Amino acid sequence: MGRTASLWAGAAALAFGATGALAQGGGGTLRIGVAQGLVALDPHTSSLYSDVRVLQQIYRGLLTTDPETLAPVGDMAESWEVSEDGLVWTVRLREGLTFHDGTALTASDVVYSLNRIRDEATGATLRSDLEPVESVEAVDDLTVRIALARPYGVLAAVLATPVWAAIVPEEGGDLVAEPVGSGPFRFVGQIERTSISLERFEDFHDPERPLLDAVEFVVVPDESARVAALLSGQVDLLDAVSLPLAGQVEAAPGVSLLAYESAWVDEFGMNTQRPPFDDVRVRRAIAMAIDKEAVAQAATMGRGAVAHTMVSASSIPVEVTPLPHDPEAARALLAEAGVEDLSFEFAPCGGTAFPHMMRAAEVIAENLRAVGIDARNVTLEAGVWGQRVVTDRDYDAFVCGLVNGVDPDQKTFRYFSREGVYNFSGFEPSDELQALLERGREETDPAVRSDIYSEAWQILVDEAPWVPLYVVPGLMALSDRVEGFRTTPDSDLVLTDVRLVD
Amino acid sequence: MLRFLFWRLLGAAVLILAVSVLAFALVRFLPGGPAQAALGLRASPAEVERLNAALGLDRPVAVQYAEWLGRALRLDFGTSLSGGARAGTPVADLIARGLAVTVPLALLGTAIAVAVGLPLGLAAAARAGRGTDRAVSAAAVVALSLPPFYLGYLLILVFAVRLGWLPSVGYVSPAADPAGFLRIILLPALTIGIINAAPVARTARAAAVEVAAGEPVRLARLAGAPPGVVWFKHVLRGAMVPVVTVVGLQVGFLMGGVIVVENMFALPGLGRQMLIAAEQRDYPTLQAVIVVFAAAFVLVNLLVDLLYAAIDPRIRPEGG
Repeated sequence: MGRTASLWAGAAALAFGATGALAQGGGGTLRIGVAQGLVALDPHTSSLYSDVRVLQQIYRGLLTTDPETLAPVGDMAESWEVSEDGLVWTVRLREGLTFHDGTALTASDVVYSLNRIRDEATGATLRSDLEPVESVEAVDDLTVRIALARPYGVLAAVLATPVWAAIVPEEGGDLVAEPVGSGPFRFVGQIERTSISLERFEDFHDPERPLLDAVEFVVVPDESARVAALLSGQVDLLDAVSLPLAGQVEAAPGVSLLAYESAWVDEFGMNTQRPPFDDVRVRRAIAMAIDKEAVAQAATMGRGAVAHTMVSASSIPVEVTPLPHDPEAARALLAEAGVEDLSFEFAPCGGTAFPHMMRAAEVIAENLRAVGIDARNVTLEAGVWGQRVVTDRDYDAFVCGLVNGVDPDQKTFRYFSREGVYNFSGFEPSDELQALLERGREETDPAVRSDIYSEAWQILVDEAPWVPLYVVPGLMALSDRVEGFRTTPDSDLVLTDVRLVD
Repeated sequence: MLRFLFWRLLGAAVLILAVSVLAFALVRFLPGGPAQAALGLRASPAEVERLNAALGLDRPVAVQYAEWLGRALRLDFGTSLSGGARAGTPVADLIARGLAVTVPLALLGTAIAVAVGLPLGLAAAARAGRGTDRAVSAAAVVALSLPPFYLGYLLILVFAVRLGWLPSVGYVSPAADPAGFLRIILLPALTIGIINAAPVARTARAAAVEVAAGEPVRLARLAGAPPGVVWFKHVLRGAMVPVVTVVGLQVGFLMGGVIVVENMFALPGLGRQMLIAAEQRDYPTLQAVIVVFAAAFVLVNLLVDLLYAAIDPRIRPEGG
């Protein structure tokens, strides 16, 4: 009986597929094992990996990133136009959009949302990325006009950021109590830090999607227990798998490991405001002392490639000539800079949360010892690390990583420009580099931008405020019952085409 | 008896008070703080200072403690300082939700520990020095040396992954689905129970061997009482006092196990509340959970002392 039923389902799916008349729903309930559960529900200020993965099912923005080309494409927006001078963006919304509570989604909601992100009081994650925006106004119910202070080609990528660029209802209630978005799934409820239930939104703008009837996020803090839950069929998908457990998933029957190129690159960063790291020769010496091949091998357990810039999985290629691994040259540079018996401590961010960084730090400490630097790799609890490095800037060096963003601007401007909100290396860019970083934001031609960022990153490689180390392998795991799942370099869960099969 | 109770309760109160002072100071030694945790790493020092002032965290610790104590005596533990979804939730609610999971888990775990440990210990005593005794002792050593997370994972692998009999994730509240709740806490309770069965078995064995060699049992045997009666009437009763003591003392250990096991099996109990509060630097919640754990330990041991009198009428608690 069961067999007949599934045969029928298969035949039906084929028929629908052939005519293109695929309908919403019928795809079952997908259970996703996650580490944390919802901590902060406001999409504009959320920052935790788990939160973003949940909220991106509920909220949508004007644009989204195409999982294949990584280029921004319309989501709530049907189309958009940029004026000749690049100063006015006109966005046209799809017709008949509604929020989960049934109210219509119109241009005024978009204006409200973008202004909410720009408002300093909100503390939105994307606020600084919308800094070039001068005004946002509704021309009519379906048209939004965004006026810029200067050309800003990155805006499309910014507006395509999941969750952080979400459209929220202007007349919405308390977003923190009950999220209301326009995405493919509606928030049903949660047991705090235990499970989150979502169900299919019938009025999603795509009449054929989503295929799933419901999505349930099951919180399992312990990773071994999370993998066991997948192996025993209690969950169907894991939104992250650590390197040590990847092999176990690969070997298990009925489940597969999904390896993808992530946008996550780890780096060794130095406090360029503090001697001797204010001397470029010392930074270059350290960069050349580090054996990136060995670091990448140890940190990613052989699964990740060496990185020479912080930009990975980008829609815009960035090419540089890296500094060679050359301990002899490193010693010579240190001697030239008059640095002897250099001794300092450095710590990976996140406490013990990112074992790849801890493994990288061990190799780096060994590499630096080989050129006469006594670099002690210590572990600081995440909060302490943040206090010292980000808030007080009272540190010598660290190991950390950049996770999000497929546009090179997102991996560069915030960290190394004069206006960089995350420039906790205290790096002072030359006029040339600053100009490149500004031009890169204005330019819209991908080929020109590729040249600009290649040039900018060559300067950053030579100045070495940070030493990019390796691309952190993106790993998820899914049951063989899951069909149509896709992810992106930002580890988004693209669930609109997913359904469960037997 | 009443005098005894009075002094013991007073002692318990002083002890809990001391723990609360220590906890208050310790949680504030944690670097960071709730403002930093809520605002994230991007927050400027000025923003952090502003929020700290708004939360009253810029005042002297002694003043903060006095205020906390005043409220806590009326069972008002303040509101959670975590950002996001739980911002402003009364701590008492978080504690109540946590207890609704942790108390059944601890009780079931203890029941399993006694149900497994006591018969094994008595069986070992009855065959002291023989094969059964050695096997029980060896098993106890193994169980005692198993870290809870390891045993928990082993049970998941066997009962959830291999056999598929019991769930290892998917909490449901006891109010919504009592049977489902029992199923989901069975593996975690078993984890706690097996580990705690070891000291129970060892204590029961030692006590039973001692009692069995004692005068009353010898007399009973000489008087021709059947072995069953001897064991149940004399040996079991005599062995109960040390067993109850060890169960009481195990409560402290049990709580450590509860934190690990709740994390392993994703149960929203008090142990997880504590971890979340620590991670978010949620001072009021962390403080309250520590005090609740301390109070549970002190009160269970008080209960144990009272139980002695019930089990063995020769023990007459006296005050002073």
